[in-house]
Amino acid sequence: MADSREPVLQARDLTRVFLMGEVEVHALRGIDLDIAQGAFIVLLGPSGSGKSTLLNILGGLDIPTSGQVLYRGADLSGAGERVRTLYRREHVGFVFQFYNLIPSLTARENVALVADLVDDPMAPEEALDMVGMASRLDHFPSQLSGGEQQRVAIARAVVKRPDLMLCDEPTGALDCKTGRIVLEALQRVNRELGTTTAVITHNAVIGEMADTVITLGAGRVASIHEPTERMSPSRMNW
Amino acid sequence: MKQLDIKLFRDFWHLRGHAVATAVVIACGIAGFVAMSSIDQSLTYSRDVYYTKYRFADVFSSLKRAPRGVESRLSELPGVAEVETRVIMEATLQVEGMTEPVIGRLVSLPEAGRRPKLNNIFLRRGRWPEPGRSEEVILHEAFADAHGFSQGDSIEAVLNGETLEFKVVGVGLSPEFVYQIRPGDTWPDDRRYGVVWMEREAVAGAFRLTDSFNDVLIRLEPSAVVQEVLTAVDNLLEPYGGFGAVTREDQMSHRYLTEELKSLRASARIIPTIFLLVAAFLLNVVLNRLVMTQREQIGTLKALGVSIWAIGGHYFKLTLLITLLGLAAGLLLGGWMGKELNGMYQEFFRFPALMYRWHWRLVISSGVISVLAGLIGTGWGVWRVMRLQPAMALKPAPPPTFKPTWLERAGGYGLLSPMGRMVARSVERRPGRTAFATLGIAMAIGIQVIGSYGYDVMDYLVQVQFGIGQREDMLVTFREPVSTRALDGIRWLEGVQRVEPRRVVPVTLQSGHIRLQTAITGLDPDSRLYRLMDRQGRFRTLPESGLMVSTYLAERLRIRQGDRVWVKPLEGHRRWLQLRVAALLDDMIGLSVYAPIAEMGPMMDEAPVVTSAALKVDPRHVTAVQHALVDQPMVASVGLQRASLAAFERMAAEMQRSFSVILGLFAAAIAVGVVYNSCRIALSERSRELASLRVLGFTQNEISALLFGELALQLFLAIPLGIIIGYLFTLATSEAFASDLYRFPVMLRLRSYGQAVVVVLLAGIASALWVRRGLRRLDLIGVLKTRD
Repeated sequence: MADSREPVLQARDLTRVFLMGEVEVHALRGIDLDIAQGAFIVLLGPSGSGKSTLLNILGGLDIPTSGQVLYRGADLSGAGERVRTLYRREHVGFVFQFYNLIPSLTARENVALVADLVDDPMAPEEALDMVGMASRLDHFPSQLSGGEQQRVAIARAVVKRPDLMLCDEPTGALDCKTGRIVLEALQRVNRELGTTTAVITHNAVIGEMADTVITLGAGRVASIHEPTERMSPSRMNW
Repeated sequence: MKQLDIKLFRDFWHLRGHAVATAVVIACGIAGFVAMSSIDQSLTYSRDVYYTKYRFADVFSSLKRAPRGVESRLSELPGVAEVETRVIMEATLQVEGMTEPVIGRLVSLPEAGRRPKLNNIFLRRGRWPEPGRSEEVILHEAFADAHGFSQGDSIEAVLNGETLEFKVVGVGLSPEFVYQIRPGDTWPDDRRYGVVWMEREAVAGAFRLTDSFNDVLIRLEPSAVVQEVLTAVDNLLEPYGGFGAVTREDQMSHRYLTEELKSLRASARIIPTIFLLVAAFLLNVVLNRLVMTQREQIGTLKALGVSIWAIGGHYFKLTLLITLLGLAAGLLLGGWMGKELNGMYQEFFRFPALMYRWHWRLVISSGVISVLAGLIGTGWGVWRVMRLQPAMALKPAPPPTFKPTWLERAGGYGLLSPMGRMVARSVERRPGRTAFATLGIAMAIGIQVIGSYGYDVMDYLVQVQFGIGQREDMLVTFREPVSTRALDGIRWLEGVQRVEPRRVVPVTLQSGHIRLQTAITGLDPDSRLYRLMDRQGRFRTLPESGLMVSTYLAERLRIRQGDRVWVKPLEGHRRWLQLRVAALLDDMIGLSVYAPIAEMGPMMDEAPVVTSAALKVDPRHVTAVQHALVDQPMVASVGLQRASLAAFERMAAEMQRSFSVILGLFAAAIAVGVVYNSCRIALSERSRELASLRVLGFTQNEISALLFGELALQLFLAIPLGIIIGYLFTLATSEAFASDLYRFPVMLRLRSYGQAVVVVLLAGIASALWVRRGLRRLDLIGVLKTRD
């Protein structure tokens, strides 16, 4: 990848084989990838292409069967559970398809919970303000719409000033209009804080807001495409 | 509905941890019920068979002395079916290997080889004495066992100053001595007290009671009016020094047996109730969680046309399976425990055969109560399953709603961390569950406390009553009241450091229509060897004048301090007197009445006399003093308080320890059951939350705090509650078991409470750690892809 900026994450010949009963499933068949500091990357691909498996490995949730994952040069592929927990805690912010907020905590508390994990977090209110949720600080998840919940989840990921935001189908459970608001929030975080962001989706339109679009197919990188112009989510339609 | 049954067994397998934890609690309840009830049934059955077969009398009376001719007048009384008269005296036995004297209760056998018409003897070994062989005796089995006596052994006996050589020809039992205890004693002591049956002429001759009797047994006609017979017997025996006729209820051995059966019955009700209520709660929690996770399955089954009865039945069968598992284990465990404990009862109660048996009805009632517990626990949950509309069921359950807790609203927001708030809010959302779990753990602490209470109280009784209260080394009982000057002879014996006189008068007390037999003990108000103490161990002084009466006795007579009570001495002038109750004494043992010894003379219209003396003796001279006293003809017996205690203490302690261990294990089972189930359910309910937090970078230890926060709160609340429950249990036990024989103090012994708390906490924490293994298996990846 031709990028002058230093890569945050590097994947080298990653493979991942799952044993499903007696059948071996090759989810990843040799992936090479560099993710540059501050980049906004969209991983595209149909179901079963291996994009979630890749994201899980990059996020320290899973380890590859072979190959290397390097975070700023440190090898994560052979790291134990404790090291990977520390990695997630200090460097990664996750956004999930179904938000995974704690139902018994308010928006502010959900964010504060994670803020407490690091030394120099943002104020939870500030993080929520960035995603446009300043007016709903004390609402519980059950009192928020899906889009609102997802924005709280983004604030929760952002609050600890992570190096890396990993978003697995962040708009997958949302309608187009709400999805756009969520993507705008992600874009704003990427622009204003310079947080390296990787978004998984099977929605090709979203690729238009990325610096780099990586398309996966059958466990391999099918193509890498760098759009010349980054489109604003507000103009997207799906 | 075969496929549904396959699902049943798979669900059961899936829930096996919950199922076992719950079944164990049910098993404990049923085992307690079966063990206690079966012992009750066995004892009752053995007793009834024994009483009937060996013709246990209905009415008993002892007297000074009456000519044989009175016997026929007794048989002619209306309501009397059969009369047996006997001579009963106490003698000192010299048993090899015993430094202190042994008291033998000599009971006469009918003449000419006739078997007793009433209170017949069951001959365990050997034969009956041959007519004319005055030296041949039958020993009570408990006494024979204590010393290893068998046929052919001989024992030297001193009867009224005359030495005789007894020859043991048989070992036997009688329904009147199922519990072999010396009248007036608190504890049985088979080494120092034994019943000896022998030829009438031999006893009567030695005590100058030839052609007389001093003990009567009566069998009543079925139509007899008991009270009328008692009055008639008393009137008839009055001129002969009758001590008042009593029924079986006041017969020593029968009374002890009855008290034991009463307490067994109480335990058989209380124990299973507690356990099955806890089990019902556990079943409730498990079923509700299962239904929650299987909501969509229920919807699908209904949508496919499976009837609501089949679905309701399916979940009920699951409950039933767990219940039946517990029931089966409980029946087996209870049967085994009952058998073991029954064997221990054989040490206390002597029957020809203490057969262990349990009625099939016990199985039915165990089944009924355990299924009832299952229904209580899950009836409502199953009903809700049946009522659930398929369309609703197919949709995911509405998300849980939360709100800030009262603590936060009341301004305590800053007190809690976000994790603390998660715990507090989920507790407040389901307060009932936390309350029941807390109550369950508290019950476990309470049961532990009650387990050690029996042991503590025995220990206390021995320490207080005999260590601080009754401190004599020796109690010398005289054959007849003797003048106080006779004590000088004892005072001068080498090694005797103190002699305190006592005057004991057997009396009948009457208040309203209630009449009771007891004795008034005249004491020196400055007595140092017999200090009056209440149940809490406080010393009390004898009033200047008037009577001091056991609170329990006063309650039975319905009299209060300051009242007057009718008293009739059963010796001497035998006139009804009205005496004032100057004070009450909340004591532990017996139905006691005390008075200053100086008042006894005027009360009895006699010069000052004593009936016994308490001695403090230099330990080096104890044996010599004993022997010197035993040889005096005026001395009926010499008792050693400490020695007699040790024997009983051992026996009672063994029994109490067994109960204590059983209850301890049962309590641990409750703690494990409650904690395991609530942790497993917390894990299952929170698995998504916990996994999300792990993904966000929380460590396993950090999320453990969340998993166990609720448990910690439950344990924290359960400790004080458990202590209170334990205290209430001991209060209830001490009330329920209070009898003429003992009243136990309510005790709060720190060590026992501490131990109870520690055992329950350990059981709880161990099961929580067991569940914690599940945190390692959390599916971090799956949670990202699924909706709650």
